[in-house]
Amino acid sequence: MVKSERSSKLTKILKQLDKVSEMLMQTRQSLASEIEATRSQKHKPCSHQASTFPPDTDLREDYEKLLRVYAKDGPQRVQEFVRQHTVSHLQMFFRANNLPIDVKKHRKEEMARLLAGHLAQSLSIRGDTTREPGVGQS
Amino acid sequence: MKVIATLNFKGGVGKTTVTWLLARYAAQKEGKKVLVIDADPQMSLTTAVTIEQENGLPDVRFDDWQKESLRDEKTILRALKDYAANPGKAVPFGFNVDSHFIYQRAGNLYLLPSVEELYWFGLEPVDTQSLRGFVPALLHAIDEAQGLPKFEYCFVDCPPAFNALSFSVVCCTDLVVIPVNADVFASKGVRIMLRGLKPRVKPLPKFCVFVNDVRPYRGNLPAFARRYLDDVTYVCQVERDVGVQVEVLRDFFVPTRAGIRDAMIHTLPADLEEYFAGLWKRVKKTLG
Repeated sequence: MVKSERSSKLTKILKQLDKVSEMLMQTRQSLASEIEATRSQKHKPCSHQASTFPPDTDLREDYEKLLRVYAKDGPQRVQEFVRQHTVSHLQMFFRANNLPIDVKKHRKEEMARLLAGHLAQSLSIRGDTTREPGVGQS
Repeated sequence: MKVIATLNFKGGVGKTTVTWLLARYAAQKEGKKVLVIDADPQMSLTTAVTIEQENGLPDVRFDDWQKESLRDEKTILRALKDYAANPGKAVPFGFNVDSHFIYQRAGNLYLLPSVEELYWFGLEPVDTQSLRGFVPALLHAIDEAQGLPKFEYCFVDCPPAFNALSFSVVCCTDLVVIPVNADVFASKGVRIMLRGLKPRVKPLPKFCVFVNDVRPYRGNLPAFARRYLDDVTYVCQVERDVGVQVEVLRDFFVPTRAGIRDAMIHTLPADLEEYFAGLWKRVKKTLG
């Protein structure tokens, strides 16, 4: 009697182990498919960014425009430029134009000040060669 | 003989180091017959050669050679004065151009050293235009000299201040190499130089601009250096549009290296050799 009781207990435990094993297998599979989905998502271009931000060529063109405006009207217009754009846009603008301004470190006011500094240097290097868009870009 | 001058109106951009290491690469690694002219009264290149060590010992041979050269007055200054006195003469120099005038540094590498008195030559009343032919006449005399090799390349280390000698160098140069540091002053020097030379030197030589002495970020030019290079590229494009043959090496730079100054007085380290091999390849391509 004792033997048969023990045997049924062991069979029960074995069945429970099978269930746990099956659950682990299912969890593993769903985790793997989740990882795969995340990976493929990472490689896809961000639809939000792609639709919101202009290409680098346009951002570089914006730098040329801003440079001419800065040369004509001074740093006030740079402050306006920074105020008018989102931090994300400014981040893309700085990156496209090789401007070492960290949007995570600085407030907009400071970004405008740093940007004006870079524009002043560009003007100094270029002198009176600053001219119409599309010219002087390789 | 192809003439390659290193020039930037901004001092301290690494003209001397670039000239010497590039010349040494061409002579020692490429087997070219190379003459280096130190046209800078600061004598940095000449001093580097004086204290340069070969096989772990200073080059005492140069000291003895220089004493004789000074005693016989066979110097670049004497040549300049002789030419200034006889600018139109077929043989304008009052001495033989030979191995007492040009120093054989090692194998294929030769040097025409500078002298301290060159500093004060600028104070003497000289007609810059009449000295225009000095370097061509000097190179012709060197080419015709007995006992000297037929040089394939002549590298000239120019002073930052543009004087009569630099003017004469640029007037007969095939290529002007312009090293720029990643700063506003050296970058601005490119425009000033191109703009200044354009109406004064005809025909204008080719120009080759590259970034020198910058600390890389993950193996590449850091953003701030690329910003300066963008502006220099802009300036050069403007000049290219009006026919100036100027190339900006955007895919190349010489990094800051703790040992680069030591490289002037020892041998070229293997990791620097890679960069000067790259620069030499591009210089040759630009020369055509």
